[in-house]
Amino acid sequence: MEIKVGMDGDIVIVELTGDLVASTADQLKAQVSGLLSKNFRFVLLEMSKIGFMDSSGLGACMAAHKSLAESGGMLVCARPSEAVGKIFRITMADKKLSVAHTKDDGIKTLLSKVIEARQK
Amino acid sequence: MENRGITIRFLPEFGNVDVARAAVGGACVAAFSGRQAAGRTDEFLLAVTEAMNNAVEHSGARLVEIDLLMSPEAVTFRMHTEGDMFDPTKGASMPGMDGDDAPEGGFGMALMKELVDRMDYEYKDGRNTLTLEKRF
Repeated sequence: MEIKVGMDGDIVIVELTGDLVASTADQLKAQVSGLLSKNFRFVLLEMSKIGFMDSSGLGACMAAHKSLAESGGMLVCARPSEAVGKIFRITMADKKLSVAHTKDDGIKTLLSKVIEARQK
Repeated sequence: MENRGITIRFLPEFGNVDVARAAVGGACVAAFSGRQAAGRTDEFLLAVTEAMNNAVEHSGARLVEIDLLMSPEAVTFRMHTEGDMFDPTKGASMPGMDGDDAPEGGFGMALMKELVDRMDYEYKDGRNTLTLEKRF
């Protein structure tokens, strides 16, 4: 799996290419831990280039969501494929995770959270 | 389509699950071809992956053996591991999402059950056999 990281103001865009599965899930966890250690708390996970995801990949998304939320930040999972979106629905993970169907929607959701955090 | 089958044996490592998944995926594309069932291929492949991940993570087996059988009616996956008996009903319900906590695991067995038409488990002479079947 390849990971590309970009910045849009306070928002970090993490783009995954390949399979998010048991053999690669730790890469995502390590990436998010690294961002948190540098105090980046608002992350858009660009998922459109994920070819296949299993429950370990889902677990890594849930772990990222949890650690960012506990730090007052937020994870948005953007542009999941039909197959990945189906895993979110079947497991009801979409009750916990914020899922955006376009990158712009995801950025807007995160920007609202950034503004809310600044006002606190 | 005539009856066809493949057998794969691998050491229990997640990297080997990736290789086995690619092989099963290729076979499934051929088996489901022309049946307007792209979504069903994805579902079967996910269920099979969860089974193999569980074997790597929990079985303690030194070798994982899988058979994939394709008939005109269904695709059947059988996974054999030696070791202790496991409880297939454990974890068969999806982890709850209603509380404050966000579960990070425990989805594998529930996904398998949800995504296939038949799931059987047998323990005989120290050998676990898990069967997953998806019908056309």
